[in-house]
Amino acid sequence: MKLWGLLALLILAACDQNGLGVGSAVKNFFTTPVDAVSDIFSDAAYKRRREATLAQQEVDGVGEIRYCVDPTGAPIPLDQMNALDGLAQGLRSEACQCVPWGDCPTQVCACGSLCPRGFDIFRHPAGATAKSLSTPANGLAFRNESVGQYEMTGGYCWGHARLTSQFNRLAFFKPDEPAPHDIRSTDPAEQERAVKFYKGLIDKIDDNKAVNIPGYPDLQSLSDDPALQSYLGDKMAKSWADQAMSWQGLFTAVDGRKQSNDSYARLFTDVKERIDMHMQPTIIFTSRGSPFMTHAVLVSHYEMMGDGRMKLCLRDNNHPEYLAATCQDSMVIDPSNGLEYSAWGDIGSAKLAHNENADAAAQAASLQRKCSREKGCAED
Amino acid sequence: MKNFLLSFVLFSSFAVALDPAVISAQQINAWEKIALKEIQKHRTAAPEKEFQLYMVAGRELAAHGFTDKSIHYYQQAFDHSSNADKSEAVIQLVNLRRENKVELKKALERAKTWFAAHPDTTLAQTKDWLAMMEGYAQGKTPLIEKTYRAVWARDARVAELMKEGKAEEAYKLLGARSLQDANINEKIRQDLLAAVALGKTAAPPLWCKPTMDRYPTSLTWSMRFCRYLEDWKAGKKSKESIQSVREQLKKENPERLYWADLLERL
Repeated sequence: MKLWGLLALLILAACDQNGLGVGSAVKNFFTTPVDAVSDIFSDAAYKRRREATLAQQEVDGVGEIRYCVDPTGAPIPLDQMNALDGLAQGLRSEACQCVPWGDCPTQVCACGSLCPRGFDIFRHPAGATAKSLSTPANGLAFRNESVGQYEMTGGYCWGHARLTSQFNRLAFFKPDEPAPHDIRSTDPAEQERAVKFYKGLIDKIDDNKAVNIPGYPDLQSLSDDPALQSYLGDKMAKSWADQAMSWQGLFTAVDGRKQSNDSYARLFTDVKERIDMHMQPTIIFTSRGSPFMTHAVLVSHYEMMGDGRMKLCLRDNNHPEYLAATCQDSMVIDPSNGLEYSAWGDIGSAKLAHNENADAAAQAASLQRKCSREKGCAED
Repeated sequence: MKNFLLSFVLFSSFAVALDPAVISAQQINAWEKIALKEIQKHRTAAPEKEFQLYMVAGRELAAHGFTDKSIHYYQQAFDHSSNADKSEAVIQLVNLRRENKVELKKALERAKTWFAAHPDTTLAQTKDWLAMMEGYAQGKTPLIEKTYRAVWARDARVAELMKEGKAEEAYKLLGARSLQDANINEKIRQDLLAAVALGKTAAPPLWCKPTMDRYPTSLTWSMRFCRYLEDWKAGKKSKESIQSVREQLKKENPERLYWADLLERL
């Protein structure tokens, strides 16, 4: 009877799309040797959202869709718009955006477009691109510690990259919304309550949950506050240890040998796809010939060079943020020399961080729930 | 057939429970109860699959921050009768206990024994990592400059030295550095150690001061430290006291209480 109960649970789970996606992972699980199994369920969740993103891109094509609505929010029929002989400026002001996190009402724009299941949900504020995240305002107020004799060693780079990415994807700063408590208050009790409040929000971000952050305009200012900076610094160190000291971290990037250009090209293709899906992924790499000189950075965006090769623009947490936006820190594959980083020279191994898929899937799920709540859509 | 169905259900149950898109502590608990009961009832039904389930559960739970539960499942995998490679479980049981020195030492002993008995699974990276963790557990981590985990190993050692009251040695290990862009924890640690190790006149200007100037009303522990150090350097009685710093640390960051012990030595 118990068995049938469990089977019923399985069937119920399979009715849910999440369950179906995981079902295929379970099928693979039965045929895959345990040594080759890595993050199998996290990967399944990632792949499901990836497929949803690609499918949506095929439907939408490229670019945003704009509709015109009247002041009540109802769509204006096409024949009326044609009769207007072009849109007057006043009417344009009533246009809404039918994009992820856009401002169109749900009677104009489907919830699937406003709060997509795929990674398009990372596009916030509406219309943002991966590259637009690469600004000092969207960065932590402190850099990865890597000075003096430890220059260019790992430091807590992995934690820095992950924390930055978590805030960029999940935090919605609301500078004009008052916080429940005043962190600038001279009353110690009030200040303590405020610090506790913000630490709670930081915990949620660290737990891959999307949140509004009142009272601060951006990540730079939030992380500059010493009460919160200390907490974030500890989070960064812990996050680094969670990734780098783990079994998977042990073998992530300790190979200083030159890899094949095909291997580098596969990484570039994977990174490009993620950037096109509005993510700035974390990559781990090793200096060629120095297997223990390892670093983790975010990839800001990519640019195509005159000769058709791709250049990855890096958001290196050892360097100032502004270098990423102008692509001054970059990686390219040289046909004869292999992978090169402008700041390091020749690179040995380079891989996507193993936390990427699990984090991205959990973050997208949380963002979709938040978006659905705010837009009045049914939650998944 | 029944066993196959059971395994399939169990794995599927875990699959849904561990899906990061739907995972929550409550769900983990609910599914865990069902799964554990069935695992115990049918321990001999599919032992290799059971082992794999433990491994995947340990891995996924660690990835999502459920450390205690991850330890539990990795331990189950390690204790399992399977002859499969258990390196991952052995390493993770050390890694996940790194915050608890007593448990860490036990896990390290087990790891050393296991890898000694399974030399074919012991890679160079594993040896390097185990040596560093052993040094850390004994409070004398050898600092291999420019290695992947050098900063972590150094910070662990600096913390040990500070707890032992060896500020001069800790400061020597850190060295004089530029901390302009470092986080406030780094700045306070450097300022504190420099003050104790070098004294009032030889200690360099405080790294924490620009932050304190920007946040004059902040009562957080780091700013109390900074105010105390600034006044001490200027040779005047501070409005902060060791007691006020200690109290604030207790509230905000009790794991750094030993920093106040060093402050008291000034």
